Amino acid sequence: MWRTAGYVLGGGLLAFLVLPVVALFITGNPADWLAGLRHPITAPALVLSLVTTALSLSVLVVLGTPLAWWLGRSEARVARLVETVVQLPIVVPPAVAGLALLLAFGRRGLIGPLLEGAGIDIAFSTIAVVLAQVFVAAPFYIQAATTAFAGIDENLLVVARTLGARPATVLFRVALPLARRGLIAGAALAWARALGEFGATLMFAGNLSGRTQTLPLAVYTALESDVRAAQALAVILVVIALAIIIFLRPRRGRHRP
Amino acid sequence: MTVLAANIAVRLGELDLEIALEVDERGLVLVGPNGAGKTTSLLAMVGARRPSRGRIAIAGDVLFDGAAGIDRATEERGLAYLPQDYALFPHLTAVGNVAFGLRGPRAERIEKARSLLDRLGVGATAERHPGSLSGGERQRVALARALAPSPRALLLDEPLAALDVESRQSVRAFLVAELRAQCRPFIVIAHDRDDVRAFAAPVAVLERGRVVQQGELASLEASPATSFTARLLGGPGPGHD
Repeated sequence: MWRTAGYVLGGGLLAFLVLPVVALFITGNPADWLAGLRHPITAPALVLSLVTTALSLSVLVVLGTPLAWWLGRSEARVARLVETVVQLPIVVPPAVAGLALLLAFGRRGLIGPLLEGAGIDIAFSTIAVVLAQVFVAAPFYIQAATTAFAGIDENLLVVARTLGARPATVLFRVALPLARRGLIAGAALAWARALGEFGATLMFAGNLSGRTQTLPLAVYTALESDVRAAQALAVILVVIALAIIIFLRPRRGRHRP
Repeated sequence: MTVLAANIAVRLGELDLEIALEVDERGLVLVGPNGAGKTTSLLAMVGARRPSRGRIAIAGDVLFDGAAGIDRATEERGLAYLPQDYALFPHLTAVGNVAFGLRGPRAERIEKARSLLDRLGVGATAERHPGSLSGGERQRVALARALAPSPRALLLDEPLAALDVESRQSVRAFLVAELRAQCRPFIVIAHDRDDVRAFAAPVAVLERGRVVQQGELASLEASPATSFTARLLGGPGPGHD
């Protein structure tokens, strides 16, 4: 009796989660999708999304890895505080993040005049797209990397040092190889989040074709003119998302403490 | 004669450690109950825990001196450290582990690592990863790795604890012979009477962060200063706890 109720409740939610994705695929046909792919809005958005997410992921890995190393290895109380602060973008609504970015880096923002003096105008540029993506995706990479680094046995690092390795050598030859799986998983999640970024980008970077119009913004724009194009773009995003989930799942399963 | 001397104080959470130890080629067996500060003592010597004050020197070369502001980096101290679980790098093969601490062209490092593994009787494990090795094999690979960069002294944290009863005796005999052959100062943490006797070295007893007794094994056996020492060495105690 209770078991049946559980199946019904859980199954209902599952159906609700799966149905929209199924609809995305079965309400269109491949001919429509091909037509959508040839729509003028598609190619620039796809290229822009790939370029900006590659940039934001690079920025995140280069700046986030040292931060995650410190968070993962430090026992200082301030590290736990920073860990909480880093999680902030997950709970802040994307539209609020976009507004906050605008108020910080926009022309009339907190450090806008400073940037303008240096000849840099960030808001409504491709750089703004990258910044918005870094902002919303950062927690996913940093959290996964922090966990991966925290899981490394301290003795391995100490022994490496006693064998004559400098801290940088220890990082590259011991810590990074051991944390590799966690880092890759975090990077994949962060990339997926950056690729799907919509709200903060719209507020902070706008919706300019070829400059700030990424795939999700193109879906939104295309919906007004050509549903087929919107659907084709959506299918691209879903296929990428599924690929990431499939890529991540077996690795988690194989992971041993 | 090479002497490693540590006269240090370390405060770490609950632990208030204050030790004065001197060890030469005859070695030193460090014993004491759990939480007495044995591992922390070794970690402080290699530079992984910072003493609040004191001095560590080997053969007159100062590694740490709180008053003089000297605190040499771990990689410059030349002290080998063998943790209880051996801490072999799981992503490297046995030969890769041993070659880690060697300098020079890759081919030379690999060759030297191989010959070290051969000498310690585990040449056949060269291409295997630590996860597939037995406890005894792991210990020998870890020992080869520790010896590879020609350390000035060896610090071993319960090197026999991870072994099962069957392999323990043969591994112990091998380890003792190897440490004797090395002619370098060594400190070995032990918690088993047979192990302590096998190393045939001076003994220091550490309890609650203090060295409560230090000397030749025979004199400790004859007159143990604490009930812990009495129980460990199997002689009559000075009284009840």
